[in-house]
Amino acid sequence: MKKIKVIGSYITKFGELWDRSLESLFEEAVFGSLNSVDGEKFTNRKVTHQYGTTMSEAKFKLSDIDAVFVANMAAGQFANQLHLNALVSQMLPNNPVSFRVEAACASGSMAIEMAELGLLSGRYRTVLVVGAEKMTDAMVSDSTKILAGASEYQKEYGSTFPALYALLAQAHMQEYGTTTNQLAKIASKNHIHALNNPKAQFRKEIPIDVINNSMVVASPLRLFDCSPISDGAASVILTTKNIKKYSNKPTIEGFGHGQDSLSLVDRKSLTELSATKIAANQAYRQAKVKPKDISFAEVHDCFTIAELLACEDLGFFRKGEAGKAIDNNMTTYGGKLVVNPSGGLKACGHPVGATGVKQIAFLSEYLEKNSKIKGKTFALAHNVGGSGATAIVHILSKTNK
Amino acid sequence: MNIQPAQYHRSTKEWHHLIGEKGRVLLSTKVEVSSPELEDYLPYSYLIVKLNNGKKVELMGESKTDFEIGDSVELELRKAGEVSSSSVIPYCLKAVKLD
Repeated sequence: MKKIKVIGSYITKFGELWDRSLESLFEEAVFGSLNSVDGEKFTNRKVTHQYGTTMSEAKFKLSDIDAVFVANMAAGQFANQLHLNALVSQMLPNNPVSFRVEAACASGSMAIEMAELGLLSGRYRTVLVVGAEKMTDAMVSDSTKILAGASEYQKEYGSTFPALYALLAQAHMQEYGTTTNQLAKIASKNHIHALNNPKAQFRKEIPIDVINNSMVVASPLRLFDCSPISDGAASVILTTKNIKKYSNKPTIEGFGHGQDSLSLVDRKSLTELSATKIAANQAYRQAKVKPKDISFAEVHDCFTIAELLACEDLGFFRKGEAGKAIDNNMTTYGGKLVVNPSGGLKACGHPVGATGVKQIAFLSEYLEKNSKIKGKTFALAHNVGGSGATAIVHILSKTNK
Repeated sequence: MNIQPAQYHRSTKEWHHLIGEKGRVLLSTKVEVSSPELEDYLPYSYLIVKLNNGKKVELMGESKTDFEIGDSVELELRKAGEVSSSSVIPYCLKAVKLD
């Protein structure tokens, strides 16, 4: 595969950002990532706000951006704003061609995948991918209905996302004896990880007994098993140009994409997400690595059971053994690998359209800061749409000489 | 639940032939938090049922009833809301526990 470098990235603060609009989140992420790239200076007549101290000394040449890929799930319902590709493209003076990508909670990683395909085809050489979601302008109860649109809503009347993942949790518990305490440990671990992430929505340790005694949303899932409603945006700049110049930047080594039925009843197994397994196998094969080579992973923990399933489906642990591994602290610092160092969707937040882009942006920055050992360090991003109908896996690396 | 006549016409075609089918609960969750249109039913069970004909369906259980894995159920018609602004009274299916 042609080398794709992640040369710029930016993540806005995630949370209930009442004073921020969807457009301002997009704008902060776009110019944040542009300003993170070393390059020529540019001025942008269309910038109306200043983000950070480097705005007036932005270094990246805007004309280098051949195309923009915009990820979002439901701005039409949350903010009555459509035509998002044009909304973002107009922020750049050269109005690059732009595309909007939607795949529910996997919108972000699918936008990155579309961008990668554009780069690999040779059509584009440098692209900007931005994902954003502004969710808190809607009532939480309305958000539940909007998000249910990622399932077969017309067909499965009465389903909610927590209910669908609760059924997956029940299936795993029946088959492998997974416990609610193991799910609570996942939530607790991700809240601890988020303490080190200034962009995270929740930077607070949550004791396991508080998680185990929180209100039931859909049995066995409780409030603290669920990721929050969030606002936020993230952006990355990918290039196949001047690779030598960016040799110290993270590389996308491989990616994969799996699909399964929207409806749970049409699936072969409810104790795994087969879309994840398909996507992971493709990504591992392309990157020429194995699960044991991964040091850090951002996995899609929209609910705690989703992280447990991911740890097995991505091959980090054998089927039915992730619960025990979590009990033995194998997915945190000092364990086999660090899962969700950002805090994951659970504690960092889950602005759905931004999440997949945030995973790549976070891992790129994390690899730059944490891959001190000589040689290659590998990280994996796993993003899921719906209750597992779409899954996209990326493998990144950073080489230290 | 606000539903347009054409939508309702299509959805009934999906499920009308399932009325009266019997089966067993494969998986069950009790939903305690939901969207406003379903709040009147809370708490309700959401189930995966394997019908005797081998087909699997996802649907709500009868309101205020606890379901366990293995319970025998029958699918019945359920009123899913009041008259909507389009003058449609929405109906769908529910699973009812058999003794």
